[in-house]
Amino acid sequence: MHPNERTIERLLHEVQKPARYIGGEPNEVRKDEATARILLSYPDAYEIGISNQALQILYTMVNERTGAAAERCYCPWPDMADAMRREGVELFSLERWAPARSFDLWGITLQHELCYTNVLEMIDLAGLPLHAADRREGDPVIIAGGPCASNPEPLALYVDAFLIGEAEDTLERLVGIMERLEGRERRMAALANTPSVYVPAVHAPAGPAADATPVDRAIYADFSIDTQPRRPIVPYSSAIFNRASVEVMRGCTRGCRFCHAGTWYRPVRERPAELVAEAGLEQLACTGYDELSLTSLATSDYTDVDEAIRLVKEQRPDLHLSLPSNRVDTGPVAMSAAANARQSSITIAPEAATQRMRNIICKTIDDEMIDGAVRAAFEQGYTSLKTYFMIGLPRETHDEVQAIVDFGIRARGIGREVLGDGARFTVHVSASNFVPKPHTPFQWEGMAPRIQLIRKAQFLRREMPRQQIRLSIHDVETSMLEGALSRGSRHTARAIERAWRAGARFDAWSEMYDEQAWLTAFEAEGTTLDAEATRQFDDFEPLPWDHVRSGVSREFLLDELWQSRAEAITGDCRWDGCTECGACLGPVRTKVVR
Amino acid sequence: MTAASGRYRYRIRYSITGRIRFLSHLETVDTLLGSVRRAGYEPALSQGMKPKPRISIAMPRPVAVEGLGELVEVELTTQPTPEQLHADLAGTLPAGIVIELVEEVPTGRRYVAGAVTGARYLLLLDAPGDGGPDPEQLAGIVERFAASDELVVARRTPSQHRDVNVAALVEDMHVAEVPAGAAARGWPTAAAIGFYLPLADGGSARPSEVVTALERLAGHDLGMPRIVRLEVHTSDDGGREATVELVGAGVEPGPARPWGSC
Repeated sequence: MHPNERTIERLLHEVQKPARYIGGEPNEVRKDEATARILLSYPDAYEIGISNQALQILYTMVNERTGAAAERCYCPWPDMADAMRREGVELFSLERWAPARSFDLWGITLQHELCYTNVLEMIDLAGLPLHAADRREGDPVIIAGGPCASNPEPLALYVDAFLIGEAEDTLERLVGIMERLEGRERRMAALANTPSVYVPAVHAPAGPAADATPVDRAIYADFSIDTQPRRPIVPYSSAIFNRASVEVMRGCTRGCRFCHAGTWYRPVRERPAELVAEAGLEQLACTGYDELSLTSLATSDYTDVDEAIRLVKEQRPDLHLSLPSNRVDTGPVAMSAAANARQSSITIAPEAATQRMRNIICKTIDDEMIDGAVRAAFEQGYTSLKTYFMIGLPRETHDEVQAIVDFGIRARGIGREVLGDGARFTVHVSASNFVPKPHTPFQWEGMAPRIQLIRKAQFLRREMPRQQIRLSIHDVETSMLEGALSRGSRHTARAIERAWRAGARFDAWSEMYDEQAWLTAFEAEGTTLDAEATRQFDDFEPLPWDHVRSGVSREFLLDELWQSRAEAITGDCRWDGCTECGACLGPVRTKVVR
Repeated sequence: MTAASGRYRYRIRYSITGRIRFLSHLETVDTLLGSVRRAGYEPALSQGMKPKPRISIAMPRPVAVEGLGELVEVELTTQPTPEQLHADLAGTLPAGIVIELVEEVPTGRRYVAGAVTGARYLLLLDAPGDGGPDPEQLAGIVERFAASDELVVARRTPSQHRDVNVAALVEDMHVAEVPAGAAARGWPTAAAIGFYLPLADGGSARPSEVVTALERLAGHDLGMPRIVRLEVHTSDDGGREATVELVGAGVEPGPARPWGSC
């Protein structure tokens, strides 16, 4: 019980969306007795964090498989955070309103870079020293994971340890350390000796350098359906995703050179359709959802997708079945139509509008396939076609940006041809800014300069017709920040702290983004935000994340970079032969159902 | 509704207490709908381009107000007995929501949301040391409230800014007994005030506005009073006392729990 329970109740009367802080949702787990207390956090608002599948997996695993108790905590919205500071209320878990600092282990998932200031905000609200080096006996061990842990340095001053890679096989070991060992010092020592756990104070106390101890990414070898939650917490209605979901496949070997997940989650592993259907149907019954999502990086690449759809539809013919991230092809369009009788929109992601640029990014599709997918979508009766493109890609010319306009016009023409001139339909063209990510072939490339991105966006807005076409462009400001943070180092960490102290938090929320705080913070560290984002690393220069080994070799990534410069594509190893990326040299190999 | 239409309407009386009282009206609707689905029942859908589940809460409950006799009606595609539906729902609700009664609603009856006539409330107050009013002054405050013809409170919402004369919209204001078990529920136990808010054509007062008016009469705030809605009354429940009649006796129940539950 939180010592300030009555005060918390009073605060809930004055904040927006008090349901963010009350817990008690269906399928929540409360344990009065526990061998260890684990707090799991997503550093964003409740409605974002509760929708995260990874945290649901970890929550279920701890509570079902161990004697420990997992509870949850999200980043309080500024109105609540300000009220908590005013009243001296420390950050608390949803389940018991227990203070965050009373837990043994505090796990924070890092799903994107724009939540870094929220990590600092949460640590501070918990009443803990901001810097890991200042924490003392009795303080919880703070461990961070998730895709952004692939470059831990921007948060290395504030987080005690990082779990590098997939948590499923390592989680019980971490819980065991908390159960067996008393005292922060002993626990930290044990964590430093745990495979795939990076403890900055031990492995790279002076910052990453050539002599830093390398840490290998953990890979969930079994990819068993048993770790898929059957009774996930059902959020209150404000969550961004209110649907059941089963991860059907992990990893992708298509090799898009900008894609972090495409290298970080290799090799490909799949789950059999009958187990997917069984897990999905059970989850539907236990949650009351009327929609099931079969998730992966590219569900249409899942070899058993047709069978999984058939098995689910056999039991629930009217169910809304969501298949995210389909490849650009006519087959997936028809598949989506079969899966979703009620849906009127479909999404495809060509990413680039010219063949040259698709070769540069290794997107192995051509105009004929894209146009075929557009035509198939309209023929299936979809009236809203959503398409995703990127601008600011390496070696991009004006022709590539013009081609996005041309695509919009062409797609609209196909729509008119298929549906008729007077038909009501919309082509949505979405353009986001390329942001280089660590552990990808483009990790050496800098972002396009801010002024170029602004001009490209202006060009698109000016040239794209408005009739039956809706253009949306990601804002340049937050993209530049994302670029500055994603390949950051320990001096980036100090800039993050400066920005947070100047009031930056919830940076992914456009209405909250305080650009001046960030510009000033980077300048105070002797650099600029734009210089960090646009920085071009030399091909053989040490990188701040070199001590993190993803399993995909640096040689492969470099070779892919050079292939990109040669505008040459690389095939998918599932169908075109091994590309020797290195991912299958460990204990796990690409494993598909058939 | 009729069996021929394939829709079966149930009126459910439930309580909502504790932390879950901080759910908004829409969150409460979704939470109840989720429970219905988890219990293995499919809500009937409305007609039109975007069909919605047919569910109707009698009276929106303000955030942070607890309810002991809330009413909701939901239409299902199957026809369980009320007892079966009650039992199935009981295991699917989040902590803090308890089903008190389930009744099948006769064909042709007006939806509950259109039949609400008012609601009875209880205001539970802290002791003076915890910010509550002096109990000796409380009777005087209540008397002055009851005797007032005009107690104007400003109502401000993003779309509305107007003055409300609370005195004209409150009935039966009185000092009440603190209910047994109040402490066990975590309610303040120093004193209680009861009142009735009728739903009239001219509108109705919000319980928080009643608190504001009482605070004005007291000359200070009332600490952190707990507001409890004791009952929601409808025109078809025989005034403020009776419950809806049961139907369905002798009717063969339709298939229930079509795909089971966890």
